[in-house]
Amino acid sequence: MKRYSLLVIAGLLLGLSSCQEASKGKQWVLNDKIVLPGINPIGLAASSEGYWLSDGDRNRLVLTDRRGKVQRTISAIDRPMHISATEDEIFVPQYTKDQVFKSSGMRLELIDIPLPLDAPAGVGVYDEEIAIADFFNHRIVYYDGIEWNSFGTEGKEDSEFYYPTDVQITANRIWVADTYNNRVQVFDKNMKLLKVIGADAGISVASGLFVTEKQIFVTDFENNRVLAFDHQGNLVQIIDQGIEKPIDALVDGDQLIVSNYGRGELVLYR
Amino acid sequence: MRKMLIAVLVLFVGIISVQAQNKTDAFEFFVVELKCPFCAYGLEKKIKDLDRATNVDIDFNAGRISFQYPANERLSLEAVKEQVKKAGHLAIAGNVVRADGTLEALGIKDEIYELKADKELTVKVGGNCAMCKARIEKAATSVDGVESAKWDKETKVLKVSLDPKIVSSDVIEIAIARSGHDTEHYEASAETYNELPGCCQYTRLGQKEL
Repeated sequence: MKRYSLLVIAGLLLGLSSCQEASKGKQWVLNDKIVLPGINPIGLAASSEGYWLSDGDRNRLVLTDRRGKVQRTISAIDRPMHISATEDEIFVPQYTKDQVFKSSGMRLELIDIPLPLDAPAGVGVYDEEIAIADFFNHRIVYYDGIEWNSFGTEGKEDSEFYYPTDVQITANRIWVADTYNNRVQVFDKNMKLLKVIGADAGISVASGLFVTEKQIFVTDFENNRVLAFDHQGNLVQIIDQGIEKPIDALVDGDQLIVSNYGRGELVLYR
Repeated sequence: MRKMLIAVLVLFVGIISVQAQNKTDAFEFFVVELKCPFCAYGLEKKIKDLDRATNVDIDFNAGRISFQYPANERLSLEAVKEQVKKAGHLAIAGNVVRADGTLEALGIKDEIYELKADKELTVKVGGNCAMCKARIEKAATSVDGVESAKWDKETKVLKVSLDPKIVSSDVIEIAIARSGHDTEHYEASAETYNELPGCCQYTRLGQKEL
């Protein structure tokens, strides 16, 4: 009887342990890095041709293949920051020109935005929808496919922003890197706040974000780490190996890619 | 003949006017908290918003921005300070060399720093050895407006002679912190500190990191 009880307890403990591990979800492990000579990547977006990198320090966009070999460069762009790509187009904010353009091939087309921008720092695209992180106006400018609106004002309370720099749109949500409030805020498509993520995670400059079906990655610029949360806002992993001044992240296939602004490289995790 | 004289006179005045317009004032400002590219290029943007600013150059690590502006516009240091504020930053020092060679410095010392009447800064700086001494003194004297700097290994005190019209104590302390040595008010980054030789890795002073 005693032996049977011990076996049951051991089984329960094993079960609990594996449950806790499962709740952490997939753990990302450093796999490789791509050194980018003469490039300090800020924004990162994947396309069928490879990775688009915004090299704000040098006023250009660079397209590399998936091993980091430069394929193409688009120059004379005023401080491009967080970019977004669809299958055949790339969307780029010109931070110091208060403009956003899209490009397919070498042709650049300015997007006509009826609201005045003051340093657009990031752009997110989903089908016909466009969201722009309007840095100095402390707001998000959002096109729902029909009309332009904006939400947010300067502040530290819920639904307020303090220098937002990155935004991503998914099927039902708008995700905002509320950079100097050191958190992520999540809104529905009616621009109503649903959740605040990472406010108690000790983030110092939430410089960028990337959202997948299961996780949200937040680049913690000053602390040299990337935080992975689940969609409920639970911190599931702190990724800090090989990271210096991270500013954007991207999941491409089974790889997590982090743009390491401080070292001029991409860091890959599996 | 009279018409010709008037034409020459008009031409002469025109040339003088064009020359005056081509002359520029050279501005230089230092700010704190340029943490990320968004801050740095945000500041650059606010300076460029001044419309006629040219040769805008920003040094992210030094927290320094410089630019030129048409002399005939007589852009004031206060106006630039306001642009820096709009970018979300605090100017800790600023000056302009006017096209005619005169120097103006921003009168902000009463707001954010104190200078001794004898134009000397005395400040505690972390360090251990002769190599530290050389590095600290070099960092201080590399700042425009610093006339001399002497650090005492025993007391850890740095004495700096400076021109208060050109430089503030904050600029000097920041330059020292960027060389890897904590000062009374600024802490060197962990990264820079870790790069110091083993003998120079002094006990940290525990200030806020830059």
